[in-house]
Amino acid sequence: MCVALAFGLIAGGCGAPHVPRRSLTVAMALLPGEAIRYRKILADFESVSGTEVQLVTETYGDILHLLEAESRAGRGRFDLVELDIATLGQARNDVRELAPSILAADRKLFPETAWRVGMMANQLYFVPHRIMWQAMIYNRLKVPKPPTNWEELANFVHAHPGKLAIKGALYEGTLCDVAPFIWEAGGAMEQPTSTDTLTALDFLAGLAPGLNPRSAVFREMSVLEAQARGEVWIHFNWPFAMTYLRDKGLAPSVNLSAPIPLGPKGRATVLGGGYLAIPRSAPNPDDAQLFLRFLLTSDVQQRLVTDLGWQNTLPTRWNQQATLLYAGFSQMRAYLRARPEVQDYQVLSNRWQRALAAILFEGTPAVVALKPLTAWAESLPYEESARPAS
Amino acid sequence: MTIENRLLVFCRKALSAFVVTAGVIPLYLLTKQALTPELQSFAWPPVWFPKSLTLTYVKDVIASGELRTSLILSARVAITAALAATVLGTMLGYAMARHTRARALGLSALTATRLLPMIAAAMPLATILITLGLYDTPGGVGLALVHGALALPAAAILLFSAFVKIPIELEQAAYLDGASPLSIFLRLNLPQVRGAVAGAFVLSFLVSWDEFGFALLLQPTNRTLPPLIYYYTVFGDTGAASALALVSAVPVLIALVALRPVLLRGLSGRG
Amino acid sequence: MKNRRGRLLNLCFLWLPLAYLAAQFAFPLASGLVMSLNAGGPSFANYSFVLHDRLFWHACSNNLIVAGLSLCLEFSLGLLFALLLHATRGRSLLVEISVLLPFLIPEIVFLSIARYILLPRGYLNGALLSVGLDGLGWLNPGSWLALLSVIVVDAWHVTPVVTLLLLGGLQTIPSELYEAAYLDGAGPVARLRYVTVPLLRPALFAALLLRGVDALRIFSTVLVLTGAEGAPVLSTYAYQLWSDALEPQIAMAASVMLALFIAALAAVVLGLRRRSGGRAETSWEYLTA
Repeated sequence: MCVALAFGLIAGGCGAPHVPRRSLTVAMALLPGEAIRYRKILADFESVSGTEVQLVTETYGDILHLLEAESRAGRGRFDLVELDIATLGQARNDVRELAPSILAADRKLFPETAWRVGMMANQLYFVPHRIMWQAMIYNRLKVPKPPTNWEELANFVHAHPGKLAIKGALYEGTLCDVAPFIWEAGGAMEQPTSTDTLTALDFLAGLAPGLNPRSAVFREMSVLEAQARGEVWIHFNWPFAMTYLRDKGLAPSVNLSAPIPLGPKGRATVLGGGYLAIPRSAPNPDDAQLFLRFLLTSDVQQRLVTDLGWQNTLPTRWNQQATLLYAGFSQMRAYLRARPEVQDYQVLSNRWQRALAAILFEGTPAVVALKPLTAWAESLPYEESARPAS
Repeated sequence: MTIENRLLVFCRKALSAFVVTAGVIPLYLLTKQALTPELQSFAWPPVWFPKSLTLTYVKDVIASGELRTSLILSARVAITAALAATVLGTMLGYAMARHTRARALGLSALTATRLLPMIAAAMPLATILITLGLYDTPGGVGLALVHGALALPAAAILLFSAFVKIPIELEQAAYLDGASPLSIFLRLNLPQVRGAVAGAFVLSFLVSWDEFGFALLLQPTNRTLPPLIYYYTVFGDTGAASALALVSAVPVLIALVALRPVLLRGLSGRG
Repeated sequence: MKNRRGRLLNLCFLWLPLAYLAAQFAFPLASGLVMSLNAGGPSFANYSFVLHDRLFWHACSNNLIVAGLSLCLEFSLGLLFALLLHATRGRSLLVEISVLLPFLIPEIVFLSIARYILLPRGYLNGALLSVGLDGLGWLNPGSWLALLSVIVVDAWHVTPVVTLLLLGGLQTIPSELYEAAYLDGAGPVARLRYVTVPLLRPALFAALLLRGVDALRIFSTVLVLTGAEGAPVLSTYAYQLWSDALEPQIAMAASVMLALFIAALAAVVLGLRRRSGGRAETSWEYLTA
């Protein structure tokens, strides 16, 4: 311990620069493997800009906590943070408005909805970093013709009980599966007991007895494992599902992606991923803006696709196999929607998760399960930016 | 031989067969999954005997990337924890062996430690480590310190029961010869409990090496082996999970089987 | 002078480790308690949330069921195994190692493989299929079967500890007692009932306390096999609130209640023990396991 301390002091003493170098500290939710590859992109920025970048990897939850703590303290060490899209409403007061010039970037890099999610009251606060959305994954050997609308989906469940799964654990993923159905019926999470919302939930409650019995604990990866083992034939998931199945030799030969079945009032899928923002307490906000501009060039975006396997620019510039694998995702690109943006989103989501568990796995009527949260949910101060363009 | 006795012998044999089956099957399946291509592990009905073997997953663990990083992290955390637990356990064990009041106090503290549910300490500890900058670090210092405390009761009791056997008269004689208490401890007592010190170190190392809950909560991205095995298991990477599990279990098994006599005594509290 | 130095050494040797334990466990526990009493100001709101949550009561009852049945199972098996090892002592290395094997494997490794055995398309259902039986949903969330799976897997993993503790007790029983009982015409069952069990009581008590506490703290078995929602117990309930619901203060309230629950039960058991005249000293051995 003492030796380490002494080393630290010596190293610190020798290494202290006389001329202050420009530096940038960023916090991102990267796994160790991703971080290694991401550092190469950062190295390029360092050589271009002469700014030293320090990458700190944390979970989304921890980054949000750090951001809130630094904001409260009024000073911090992070210049740029990556936040889960579902927490943007919660983080809004702790981050800076971004210069309008950032928007001069190539708008086509991301779908229009993805840009709008980062804006609040016509101001840009968050920039898409990696975005993704859900599609339907199906076993092509068992289900040669995947269901294209709600009726066909219901027929599938009746013909093959236990073979449709949803991610029903008590976590955010449940809403990513259920919200598209609500939107496709014309409903909204903000209006839990509106007629349209209830249409969707009654439809899902009708399917519930035929869902895979482990649906109540499934999450992204465990449902995918069940799909790989053939226990499940259809479920909804993110693009990395196809990467997983391909790496196992189970796609495109066995599994493919397709659009989420069409509902009575249209089609929808949920937008997910990470957004970048500059904390209010950032010590070097200008350098952070510089990094954002660097990131929002099509060359760098292409590297995020090829080096890190993110699907940001989907479906452009893909080889034939990828086109086949991600076909369902490409087709859903035009139907993106974001979850409600509001400070209390986490609480809203938690209360929805509990209600959905009651509706789907305990047979509670939707209207009974949702009634207690309706008045509260309807009165929350939502941001309007993420609504779909009419 | 009475019927009753014959029945007894039969029961004994049946029980032995049951015990061997229950003990060996998990290890066999684990080894099989680690060494066969993943599609065979996914097959239905299950493949009981591998059709082909592969070393891909085991090689990945030893040679590359995330798996290797976490192997090294686990070893670092376990060694640090074992050092902390052994040093402090030796101190506490000695104090408890020599003073009745220290014994009572020490036992209550160690018992309380044994009662504490992991989750109740781990969640607030995460908050504390964040403020100290020791949360989720690549070196795992924060986790190692907790593991040290977790292993302390076993280490202290092991050392206590070794120190208790040393007759106090020797110590008193040395004391009258003018030796300082510290040198009596270091030169007279410590050499006599070398075996127990080594045992405490190994036991503490294993406590840390096996520990899952604190590691899951305190190192969410820089993961030690147990959380990584958990994630690979529930994320459907059967080959990697099994290979990682095998690599983390084999050294433990070898150590434990080799040290069986010592540990049998240690585990049943008769150090 | 020397005397003072000796006292200083002993103070240091006693209090340094205790301070370390306090820093790692008592301080976090206390700060958890403080955090659990904070809901935008000092309040019992977090506790009130927990007490009004159906899932909490579900987790409580699961906790008791799992602990109770798992203890019964592992003590019956542990006693059988200990008698077996005692009878065949030294003659069968294979049996001896096999008894210990499920515990020697790291916990998470054991659980990982148990999960592969119990999955709907796992090895157990595969074995049932090969003898012409339909598989069962061993891990289906919310089912009795899932709870049973957790109990059996937990017992499977820790029975070796119980076996060792009981074996230690068996070895202290003088063989003359058995001979005397045999001469009196007592059969094997009667010898077990009237000689073994009464004399094993101290060892049984130590094992019971140790395992009872562990069974109440159960976390990883549930998390790996069924997920936090499949067969919720208090630990996984608190973990879900902390990691998924991002409600740390409510999670702390739940975990404080678990800690109190365990402390109360332990106090009752230790109190009973003391009243029945047992020496507290004999029970220290459970600490090493």
